[in-house]
Amino acid sequence: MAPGFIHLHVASALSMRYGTTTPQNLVNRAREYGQSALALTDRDTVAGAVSFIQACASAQVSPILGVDIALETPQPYLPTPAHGGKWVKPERPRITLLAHDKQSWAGLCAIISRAHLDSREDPEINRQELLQLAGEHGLVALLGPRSDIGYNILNRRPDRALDHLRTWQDHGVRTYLEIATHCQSPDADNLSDTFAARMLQWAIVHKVPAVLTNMVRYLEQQDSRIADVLDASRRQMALSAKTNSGPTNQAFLASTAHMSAIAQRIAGMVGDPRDISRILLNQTVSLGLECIIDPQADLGMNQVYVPELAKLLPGESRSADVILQERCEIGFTNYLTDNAVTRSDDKRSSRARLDSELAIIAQMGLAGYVLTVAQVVDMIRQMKVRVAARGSGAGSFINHLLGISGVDPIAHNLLMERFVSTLRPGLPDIDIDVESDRRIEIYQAIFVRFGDKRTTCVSMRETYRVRHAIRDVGAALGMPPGEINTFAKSFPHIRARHIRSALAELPELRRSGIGIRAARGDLDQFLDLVEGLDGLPRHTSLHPCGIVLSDLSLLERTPVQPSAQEFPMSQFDKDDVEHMGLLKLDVLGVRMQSALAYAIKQVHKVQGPSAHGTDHTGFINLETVPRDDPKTFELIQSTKTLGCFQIESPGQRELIGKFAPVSFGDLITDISLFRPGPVKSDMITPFLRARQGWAMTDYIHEDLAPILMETSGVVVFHEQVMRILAVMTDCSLEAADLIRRRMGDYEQLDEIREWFYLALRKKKYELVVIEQVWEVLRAFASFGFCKAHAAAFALPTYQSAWFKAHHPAAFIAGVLTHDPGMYPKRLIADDARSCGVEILGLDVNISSDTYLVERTVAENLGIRIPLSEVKGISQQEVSDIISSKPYRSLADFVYRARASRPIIERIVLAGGFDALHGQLVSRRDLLFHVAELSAQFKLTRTARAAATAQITLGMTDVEWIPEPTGLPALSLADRVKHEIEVLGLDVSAHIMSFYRTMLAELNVVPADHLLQVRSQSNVLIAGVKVATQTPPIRSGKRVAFVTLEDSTGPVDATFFEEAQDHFAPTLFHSWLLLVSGTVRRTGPRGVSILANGCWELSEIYQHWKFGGVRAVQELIGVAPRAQLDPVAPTQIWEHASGFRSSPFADVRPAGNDLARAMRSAAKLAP
Amino acid sequence: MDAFFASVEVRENPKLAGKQVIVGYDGNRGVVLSATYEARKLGVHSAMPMSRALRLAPHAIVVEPDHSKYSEVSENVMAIFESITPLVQPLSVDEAFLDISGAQKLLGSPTQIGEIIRARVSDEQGITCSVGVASTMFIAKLATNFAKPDGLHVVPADKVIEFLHPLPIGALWGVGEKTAEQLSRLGLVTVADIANTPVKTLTRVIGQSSAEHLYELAWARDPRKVTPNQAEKSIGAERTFDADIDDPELLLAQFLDLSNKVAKRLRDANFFARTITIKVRFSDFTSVTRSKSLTSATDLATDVYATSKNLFEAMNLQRARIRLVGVRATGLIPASESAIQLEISDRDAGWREAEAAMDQVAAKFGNSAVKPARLIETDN
Repeated sequence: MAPGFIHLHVASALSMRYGTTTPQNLVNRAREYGQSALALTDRDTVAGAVSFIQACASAQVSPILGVDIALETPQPYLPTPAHGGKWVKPERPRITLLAHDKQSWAGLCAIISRAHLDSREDPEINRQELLQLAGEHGLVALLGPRSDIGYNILNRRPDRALDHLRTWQDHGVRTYLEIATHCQSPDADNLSDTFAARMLQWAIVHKVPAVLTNMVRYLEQQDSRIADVLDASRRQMALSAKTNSGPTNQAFLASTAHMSAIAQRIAGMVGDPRDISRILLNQTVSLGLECIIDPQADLGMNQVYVPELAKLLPGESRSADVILQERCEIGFTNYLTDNAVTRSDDKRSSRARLDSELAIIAQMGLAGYVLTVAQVVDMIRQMKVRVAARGSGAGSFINHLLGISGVDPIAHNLLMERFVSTLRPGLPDIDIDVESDRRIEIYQAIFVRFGDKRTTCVSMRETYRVRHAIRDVGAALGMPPGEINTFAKSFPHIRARHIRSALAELPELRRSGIGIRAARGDLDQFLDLVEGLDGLPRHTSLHPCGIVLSDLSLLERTPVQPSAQEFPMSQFDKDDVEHMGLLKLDVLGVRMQSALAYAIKQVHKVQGPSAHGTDHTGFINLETVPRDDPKTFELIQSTKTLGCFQIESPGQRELIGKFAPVSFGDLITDISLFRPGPVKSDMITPFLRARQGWAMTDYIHEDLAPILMETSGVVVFHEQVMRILAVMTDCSLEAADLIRRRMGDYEQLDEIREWFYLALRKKKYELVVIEQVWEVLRAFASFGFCKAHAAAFALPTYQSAWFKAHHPAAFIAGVLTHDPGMYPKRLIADDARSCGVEILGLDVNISSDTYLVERTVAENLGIRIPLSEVKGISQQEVSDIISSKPYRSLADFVYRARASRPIIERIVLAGGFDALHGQLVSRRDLLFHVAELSAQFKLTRTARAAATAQITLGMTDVEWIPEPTGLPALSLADRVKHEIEVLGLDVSAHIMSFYRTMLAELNVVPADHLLQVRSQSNVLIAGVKVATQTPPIRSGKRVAFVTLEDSTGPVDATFFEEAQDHFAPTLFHSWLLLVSGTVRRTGPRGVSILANGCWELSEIYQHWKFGGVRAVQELIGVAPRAQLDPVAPTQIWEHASGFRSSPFADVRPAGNDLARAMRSAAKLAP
Repeated sequence: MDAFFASVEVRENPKLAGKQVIVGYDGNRGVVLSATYEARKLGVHSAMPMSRALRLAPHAIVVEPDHSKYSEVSENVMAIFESITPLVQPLSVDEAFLDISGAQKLLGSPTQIGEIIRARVSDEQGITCSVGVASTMFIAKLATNFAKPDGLHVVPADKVIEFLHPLPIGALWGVGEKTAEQLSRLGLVTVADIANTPVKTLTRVIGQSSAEHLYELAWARDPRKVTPNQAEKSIGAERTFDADIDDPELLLAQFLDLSNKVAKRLRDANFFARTITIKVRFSDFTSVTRSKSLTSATDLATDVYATSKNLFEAMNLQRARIRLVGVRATGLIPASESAIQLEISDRDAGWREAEAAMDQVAAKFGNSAVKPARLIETDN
């Protein structure tokens, strides 16, 4: 069979802001056209290689890999002072390189890495380096219309073109001329038929082989509009006739016939159309066939590369297995002593567990891998950084013995088979959590330890979602920036392709001007383009945790490019590196770990070695504090768990309120229950009923009792499913895990069911039992949670709760400093107050760059607001201010702290000088003083520059006390407003306190009184919105959960879809809310509001001010409630397991980010 | 006039009455020139980008502006004013100050005169207008805002302070957004706050002359008198492009065209300009202006263009994306006072005659009949 045409120059969407379609689509189209091979030559990257090769394998198209790379332009470009877009390099000459074997692939990697080395934004390579690398590695070069040769032929300088050609040939590079045309009109310059003919003519004259390409960048002609938007975005210009790089729609993946026609057309302009076009096409196809890549042999896929043992353990001559065994033996002895294992049965069973795990590791050849991870963890511990393992790795006893995981898998019934199994090839995952603010330090240490030839980070591609797509399309169409911004922010963080359904269905959008115009069809062009960008990659960034450790051949198998933080990162993403056989270790920065580490230091600083929980080092050791501390569980049961890891969300607080965990095991169960799976399949209700003794625990069969005892008869964990399968069918745990995984696939269920029935019948189980057990397992499907994961999570959960119970001030200071949770800081600060911890105002002489714990005058503990919270302050300004402490006066500060005037004014407004001047003069007087001082400062600036020291001394020698202005001091309301604007926190008084009179008159129920209100009664609540979530729920509709905070505590309100209809815009875009609804009791401590309306509090305030309670009641009374407009039926997605969800669930909702919005909310205060 | 352009359009097309009407060019880059009160209720106001206006008022009807119609109505309205009193100071195409102190004997009380004006404008021109009456220009202008739409607001001399003091400081003439923000940070929010702050204190923040100016205004002291036919302070022209332009050559061609327009208007009005200012608005809506004073005043396009070009090139913008450019001539002096005759120079020999000839051709055959060769292609 004829191979068909072979496209040798093809860009996919991985060519950022250039290509428009996935490698898969391209491959499938080539197969439809009967083309036996296809090249992928993305711009500056091979990031698409793995998915391309996989697509090729399933489509039976042979893969060819290359890159389209830019050449360094000689003239340097000038920095620009321009507004309206940064400087963009002009398009540079480009050539295409093809790899064809292992060596040339290594060369390709080297060239790409080199091109990215100096310029992160616009990779380009120096010609000399390129020629040398290409020659050395035997690469094939296609020199096309955009190459130096192309430019010179275009400009009628064939002599220079020839010089370029000779240079390529002299370096031993196999060189082809690339002939391409996108337009029959000669106006199209280097993409016209005429020019292609000139290139071809030149090739014939100079006896260079030529190939025909279509310089493909999209699948079909109509996609050219998307390509135009991408061009506009890349060049940062608005779309217009001029910025269109030639109005072409011809860069599509063309059929063989189409390409032959082009060949004929061009050949006809050169000479005999038949002969010349045949030769051109033949040369193209034969080059293509020659360059087919073998993924195994050439790219080294599907093999495993870990650091050489010699690098890992220098001087070690024994095998990795022996070394691992030895380490585990040491760990095992310690384990027995530490856990006081004395019963010989226990000893024997743990011994057996260790031996079987070692056998599996040995069989899988993973000893080197485990040792590598252990070494990294040891290294992190030596750096005194908090570290914890996460994920299924916690199921391995070896990991526990080596100190990788802190959870004892035997005590908690965790299974090794969930982590690694001989039935599953490939590398298992061990994820490591470290303190987030020291992650970079750890990365650097890993690079030093293993060397940068064996180590690289992993990249991650962000794709266009709706907001970015709107921004880029809006800019391309020349919309005003402010409008683009409003447009973008009015959408939740959904996929770009859902823009139309969002506009039609979401109440807050449907009723807006955008929704109305869209429904009328006014915005069709705009929406088409936004949809067209859906899912295209738009940015490459550093994966937040992946690090690849490999042997010396690493850089011959993957190109690397620098991240924004200057770490080299592989162009392959996290899934690709695994296919490339690279060991990826996830080192994840966890803010809670930083918060805990910070809290430990604060306790040490303020309370010294006598503090509760402190060990011989003088510091708290969270690893050794008892895991059954009553005070900790008391705190958890009280649901006052804001700031605690994993259990602070409204939903979790509701759950722990009902569940009331009493042990570490309960915490594991709690975390597993609060997952989409169990929530979806409604496992929580039967569990709680059994747990609270309202229902008898039903184990179905006595065989299941030991397995399900820990969760009151309900299946919660993957491990339980594995055990049930193993016990009842007599299969191995490894096989059970495989079956469990397959059960997630709808189509395999029948087959598994048959096997299951057969196996159980054989063991003489009753049919009723079999049916019941199967039903439980089927419902569980892929849901539920890996207990090892949950156990790993439960550890920091417990530790954070312990800390909050015993050292609330230090803990909250840590939480405020490292911001690990979901809530805005002002809520955490309020929580601190309710724990009896004072929040101390900004003070230039005391505040630092983090939240410090200090003893107050009343000998209590307080938390001092840091300077770094001042809006807009730079790191430099903070350290300058701190280093020049103490200050004697505002004048002294202005002269010595080197802060900018707006920052000084903000510090004044936030009360930073109250302690210095507060009794004498008001904040307002101080502002006037700042104005005067800065005028003075300007006058002396020149002199100051000449002799800083003298002037400074001279200034501070004179005590310059601000003069009172005679104006009244700022009102309390104004002060709070300023504090929120500057710090994002209300310090002097709670923002809600200004509404107190009105709220009392309106009978608004404070959060802490809700428990006394009878269930089902109608109430009004009010507060600052501190969280909005739209999680997936069982009905498939979108539900919004809102948490309000009113100074007496948080209160949660639920808006079902019907209630959102009229109130969604207020709900998502306002910050101070009045909500009406009915009280719903959810447990002994749990209460929430089923909302039926909400209003902006400032609007209510206006009504109240002018019309009293009556006006407000009228407003609330006439508001429409819970009516559904006759709209198109809401789109619902159905999951394989039968679970339905709204496409708009579980995405960040519309509106501003909460922390930022808080500051703007200040303007709404009365 | 109330919503002037929009009112004229409604008058021309009664079907639009009571509807949300926006005057301006539709499309992503258009700007609202005027809107009816129905549209304004939804937050639409003039100078707002059209796309924003349509988001706020998706049901609004967009009408393209017809400037000749508006200037005709404007002239007629001004004629009505002049029939009331000769002391008319036009403020813009649809606003004017009238000094009616002399007209009271003839026409009645200020309220009556106000109503006469409103009735005549309504009867003769078919559009509504609002009148503010007060003892000073500053208060009269504020009173007009209270009268709108289609109303009359009189502030008697003894009620001025009562009227003025609760207003936000932005109401004070000369207080821009920036000053207002600066003052409000100090807790000075209303005019009363300014009035009750010692000038000395104000001076500490905004300098002596501004402080004194604001303090005077805050006590409603405005020495300005209605000056009929006040000389034009500046003549300018600007252009927003259909798509952002980043090509310096194209931009210079635009400057050339605008310079020609400005120079022609200077000559038509018999003015010479001492200073040339250019304005460049970038695609992100930030604007930059640059000015240069000439050694001698001019009314020639070659001079205006040469200065504009120098100013533009000195900005060294490379390929910034530009949305709008403008040229403005300021420091106007009547041609009779210009010293052009005294300048001994052959620099512009011939240009004066050439441009005068162009004016003549334009007068005869229309504006596009003669123009510099470079503009022939780029004209739109």
